[in-house]
Amino acid sequence: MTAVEPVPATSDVLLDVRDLAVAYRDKAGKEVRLIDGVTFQLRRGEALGLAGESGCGKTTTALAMLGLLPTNLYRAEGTVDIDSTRGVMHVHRRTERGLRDLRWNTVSIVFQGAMNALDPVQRVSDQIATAIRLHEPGVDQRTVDARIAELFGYVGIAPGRARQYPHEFSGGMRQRVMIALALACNPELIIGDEPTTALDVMMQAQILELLERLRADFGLSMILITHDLSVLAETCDRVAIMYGGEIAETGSIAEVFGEPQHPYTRRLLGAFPTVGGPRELAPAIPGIPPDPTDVAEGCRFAPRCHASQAECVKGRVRMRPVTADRAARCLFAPWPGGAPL
Amino acid sequence: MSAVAAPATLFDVRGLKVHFPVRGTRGQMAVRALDGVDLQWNRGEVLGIVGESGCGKSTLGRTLMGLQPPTEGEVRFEGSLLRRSEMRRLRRRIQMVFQDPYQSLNPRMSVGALVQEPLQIHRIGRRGRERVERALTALEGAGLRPPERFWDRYPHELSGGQRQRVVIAAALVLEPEGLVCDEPVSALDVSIRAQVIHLLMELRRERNLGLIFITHDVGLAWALCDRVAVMYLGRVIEQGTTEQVLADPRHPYTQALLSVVPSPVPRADGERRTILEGELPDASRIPSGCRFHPRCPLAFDRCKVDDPDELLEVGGGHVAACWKVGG
Amino acid sequence: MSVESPTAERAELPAERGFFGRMAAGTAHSLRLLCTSKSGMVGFFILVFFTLVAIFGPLIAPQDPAASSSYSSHILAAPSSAHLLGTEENGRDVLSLLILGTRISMIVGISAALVSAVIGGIIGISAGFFGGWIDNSLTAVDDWFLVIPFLPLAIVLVSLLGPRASDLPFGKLSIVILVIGVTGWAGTSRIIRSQVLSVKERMFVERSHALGASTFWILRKQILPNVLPLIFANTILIIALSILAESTLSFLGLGDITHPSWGTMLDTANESGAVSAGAWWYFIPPGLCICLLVMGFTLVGYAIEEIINPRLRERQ
Repeated sequence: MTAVEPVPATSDVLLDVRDLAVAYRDKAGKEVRLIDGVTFQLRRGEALGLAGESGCGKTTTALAMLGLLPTNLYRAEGTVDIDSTRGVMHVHRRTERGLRDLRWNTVSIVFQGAMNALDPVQRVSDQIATAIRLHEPGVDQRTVDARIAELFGYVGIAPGRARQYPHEFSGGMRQRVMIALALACNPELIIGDEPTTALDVMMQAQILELLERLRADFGLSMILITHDLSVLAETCDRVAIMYGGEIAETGSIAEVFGEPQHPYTRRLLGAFPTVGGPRELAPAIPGIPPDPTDVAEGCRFAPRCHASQAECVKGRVRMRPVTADRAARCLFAPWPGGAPL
Repeated sequence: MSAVAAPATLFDVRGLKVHFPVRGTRGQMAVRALDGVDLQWNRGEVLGIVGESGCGKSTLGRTLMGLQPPTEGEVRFEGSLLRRSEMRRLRRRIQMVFQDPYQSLNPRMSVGALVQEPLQIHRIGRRGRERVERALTALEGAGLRPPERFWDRYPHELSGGQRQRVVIAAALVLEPEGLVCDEPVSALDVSIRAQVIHLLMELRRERNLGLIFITHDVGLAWALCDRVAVMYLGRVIEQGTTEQVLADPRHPYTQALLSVVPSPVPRADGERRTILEGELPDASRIPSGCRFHPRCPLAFDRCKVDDPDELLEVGGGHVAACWKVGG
Repeated sequence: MSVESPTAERAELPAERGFFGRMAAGTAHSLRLLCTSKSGMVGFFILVFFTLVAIFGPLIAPQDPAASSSYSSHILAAPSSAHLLGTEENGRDVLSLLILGTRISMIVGISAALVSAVIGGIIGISAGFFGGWIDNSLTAVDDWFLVIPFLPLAIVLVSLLGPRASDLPFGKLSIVILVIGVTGWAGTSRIIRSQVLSVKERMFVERSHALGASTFWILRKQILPNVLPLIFANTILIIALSILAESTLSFLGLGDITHPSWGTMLDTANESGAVSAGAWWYFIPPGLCICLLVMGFTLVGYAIEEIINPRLRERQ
């Protein structure tokens, strides 16, 4: 399986993932792949959205970027390379010590439900200080304090609140603290795993605006993982839609959302009606998402696909190029005028 | 068969208040979950109740179903005041669908038992075959086909979407006139959401079922509802048809809310996002005057002092609780 | 699961199982689950063993300790081929006493635990379900019983009520059962009350309410099925405690000498100087049996608790 997206000649690419597969061994010893053939690139300063339903493998992919996979999972195939300002890092080859050097300094992550990830018995500033000291041993207190004040300034928390405990903050404010924590060591790439899912629309808007501002001010690159396509559309430049552990479609937001090339994307978009648009929901996708232990022949989406034909269930489907930087994993891509509804 | 036509209004709510006293303050401080709600729901209508968490929409749903006694105000069901004696009649005709399909079903009851339970409670149909028939029909109506295959299953053997369908089937088996749905799809996967929504819409078409759709998802409300009521801190602050409220919002809160709802369609130039500062105030410390004034971009002097407790006419049945409306 | 396929006819429904059918299926299911726990299995076999001994006691015991023919002059004799566990201070066969004592220990233990379970269950469910002043008053009573140390209270009660026992069936044994039961319910009721409180808040109970269910219906159909398994698991553990309690009371001489249990044997062994005489066959076997039986119930009780808990926690 070769990458479909051509690698640009310049070192404009920060993150290069090729053919990544992550698996575990079931009780019988058989390999069960949670993600397979995942290939994408992230350019510096770009925001990539990783979209899909629960179980599609997006969180597993994110964790693999940091070498944070749980112990029962392993990399079955593929490479993850980061061309950072501190040198080229082959994440897939690094040991735990090497990974610790990479984490937080180069890549950091804001987890799902992160607002509950703070230690309730430690002051918020202490928790951020711990992170800073872990990655910059020997740094003096004054620098740490200054950095914390700076971080809180960026994320919009009053500096006087630094010494408070997590329970004194609301959900939205705690999420800001988590973002401050993720920025503590000046990373080049931030991964947000459903960072706004538990938040209200207004709070979500505040957080997304914050992320946008940070990107603009610091040239941060971002991977945003979510099931909410509308949120992706507002914040990202490019998108990769995942289904059943594979990437189904990639491209720029405007292209993919304007004219989706995969039937799944087309139907999924239809589940997010827009105020001011047509007052209806697209027809539903029947059935339920696939089970990674039960991988059938052929296209993973075929059993639920409204446009599937006989040939869809025979043999693996590869990513087919649509344009120079768009691809879709569908036998009939490119669909003229987009995938059918 | 009554000669008088069935009343067109199912629920008529006026000045509804539900206050929860805060412990230890001797009832002086209260969480004002609902603070004077006026609302109408008509037969066969899909009414959307939209708002953020903490606005009281779930409390409103539960109060309508009689699960929460009102502190003040009136709830009329088909014209008559809701009293304890009326509850049983209400519960036969209006059913509720809850948010979390994983918590809504008794884990020790099989699907068959769950769907027959309402019949047993209301003593409808004869025991045995007749009740089983009705339950099977309800399961089919909820899209679980063939229903016999699900009869003996237990909730933990079903997926989220299937569980929600069982909840809907148990609601349908009584052949209700309306369903109050409190975030019925938020806990489900995106592709499953559409399935359940389509089911509800189909049921509405086939049976002229009224729906109250409580949600924070404005896009869904746009696509599905006939009328929409927007809530903020325990009050309905704007109400009207979907087109009126969501396409032409008049209350500053609704305007701000709609401006920040993310959408895959690229924003038109010049459409600014009004991101409100701060957070929703505590329901036990509601601001004086208009409850929205501290965060309102259009607030002026009167707003700090006068509470717009009545919905003012915008036009054509579109109302909003704002001093800027109607002069 | 296709949503679209229509059905022309009704397929055959699996036959509706009656109450006993469901109980049998439930028991079979639980036994299968019990097999997954090694310690549970060990406990189970211990219980089976002692139950069989209790049931077939009179048939297996070489002697009938109540018969005057059992008394002999071989006092405190060491184990021999005639008496596998030797004799006691009246020349009777220790093994027979041990075997028949099984019945008493088990019956008293189980009956007392049942009394505890019924009292604790009713109080716990009422307190949790009705709340308000009922809860407050019942919990106050519960607190009282929790705080009072068991042994002094039991000693006082048995001493007071003992003399009036002659007209009761089983005589003094009933008193012992009653006293252990009445002093032991407090822990159970607390646990039950918590469980009822948590089930009451569950969404499916509110849903039943919304469907129009009456309070009694909810209690019967929603609360009880979710609480009874816990009561069951807890009762097994209480049986273990009750057996210990009975042994203690009997050892202190408060038991019923006409129906000797293992505790009684320990008492008479002590009184008759068997310890100083080194007649280990008299006091070690009863002590060992008490330990084994209590261990059996405890292991099974813990295993059942483990089985029940994951199910109560709502799984995805």
